[in-house]
Amino acid sequence: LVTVGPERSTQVIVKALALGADKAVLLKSEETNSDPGSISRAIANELKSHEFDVLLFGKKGVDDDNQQVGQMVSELLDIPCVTQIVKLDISDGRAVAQREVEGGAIVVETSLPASFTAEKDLTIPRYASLRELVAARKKPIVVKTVQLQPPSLEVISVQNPPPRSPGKIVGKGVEAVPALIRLLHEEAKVI
Amino acid sequence: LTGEVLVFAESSAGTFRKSAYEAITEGRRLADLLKVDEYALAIGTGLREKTNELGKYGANKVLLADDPSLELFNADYFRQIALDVARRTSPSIILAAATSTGKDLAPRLAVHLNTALASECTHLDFDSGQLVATRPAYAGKVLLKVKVKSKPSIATLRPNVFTAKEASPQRTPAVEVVEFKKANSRMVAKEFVTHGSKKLDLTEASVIISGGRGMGGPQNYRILEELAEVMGGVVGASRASVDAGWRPHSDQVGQTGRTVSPTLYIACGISGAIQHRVGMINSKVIVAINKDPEAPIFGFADYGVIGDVFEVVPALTREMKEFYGKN
Repeated sequence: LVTVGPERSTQVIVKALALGADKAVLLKSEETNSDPGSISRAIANELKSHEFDVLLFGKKGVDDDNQQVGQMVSELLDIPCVTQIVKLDISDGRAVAQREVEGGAIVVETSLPASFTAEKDLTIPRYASLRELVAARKKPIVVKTVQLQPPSLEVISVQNPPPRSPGKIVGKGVEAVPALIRLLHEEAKVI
Repeated sequence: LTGEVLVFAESSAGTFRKSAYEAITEGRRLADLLKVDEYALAIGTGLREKTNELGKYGANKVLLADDPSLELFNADYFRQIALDVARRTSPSIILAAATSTGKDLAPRLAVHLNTALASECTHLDFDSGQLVATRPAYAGKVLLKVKVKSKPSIATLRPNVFTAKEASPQRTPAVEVVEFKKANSRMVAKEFVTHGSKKLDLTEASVIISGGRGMGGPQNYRILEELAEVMGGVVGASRASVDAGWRPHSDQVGQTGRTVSPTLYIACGISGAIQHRVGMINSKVIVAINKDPEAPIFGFADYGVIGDVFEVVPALTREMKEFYGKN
């Protein structure tokens, strides 16, 4: 398990260890650099000294929603990467994954080592038992301080999205339907 | 002219996607501001006769890789072709639609070209010659303005946000065929499997009829399918109904599902929890049908009907059928 983040990331690392990981590496950086390129280079640099068959990523972070790191790390390591997968089978040194796309899924077969980014349906995260949580605290976390490459993507402002005010209640039940159609046609002009 | 705008024009089964025309239109706008040419990159099969379509929306030139092996997205092939084109031309900006393909491909280009990428943008602008993109983050709870400080600046555009508009003047683009080596793939895109008969994806649909927990069970989605068919729309679902196993995850609208921005979103039996709201709040017009007058969705829907979906939806289908018959 590898992650980039500040000291306090150890809290989430322990949770992940409780879910089944055996050891963890925290690439410690206190900078607020969220450029996926900088993050990916730090992760790829670390992974170069590890041997692996499969690299798993989430498809995106739940903060910046960039959806870039999995692909970037894989390109830097020169390994195939299949994104947004909902199914993964591995046998005889090859992997077959289904990646969710518009209107269906594409079945992709790849050689290993390879990386995959997970769509929501890939697995159901289980709950860690108390015993697993306690055991996780004894698993090794290697902390390495890293210097991230200066960001090329810079956040210059954070705004609230424009508010959406409540519209009108057209009416109750079936009787409201003709009025709704008229409003959609004449006022909103969407039909 | 150098510093052109290069736009990846995504296709599916020999036809350019609507989101590709949106990206070409936006690329034309940026090219005009920068006084440069717009190049379109078309990768797929059966596109040879379709390149003029890209000229209609403003492309000066089309770089075309057309081969049966490019029918399904294979990241190794597409990356190789796009990178080759990006290196042979000298783009200052590269655009793609934020589809599953665009979102897969763009970061690969960014890392090889040693530049940055702004994902899922809803607006593009310049500040002192640098690309400034507006993009939602925290699942749409905030809007970020980000500056791409490196060139070529790459951005993916959220589908259905930018408007595809034929350019004036229209162009008959020059076509340059791009060669690629098939041997260089470690992966095989074997087949496309569909979840059902649905052809259009939620992110591309202009009308979405969504059902939530109020639908009561999977069998009841038939009434939504009927309304969708009459209106040329697609059926979506809330997380509650996906978690209950009534609908596949690919139908889910919201934070852990699709983010959609159709012209018309009709929410049926959906309460409007925050995680659903962030996935559909950018719809042009929102209609809510719910029997609970206190449902949060009435707080941000444009039009609300308080009532039982099992009565209101079939009535809406009947009257819509009549409406479309006349109009």
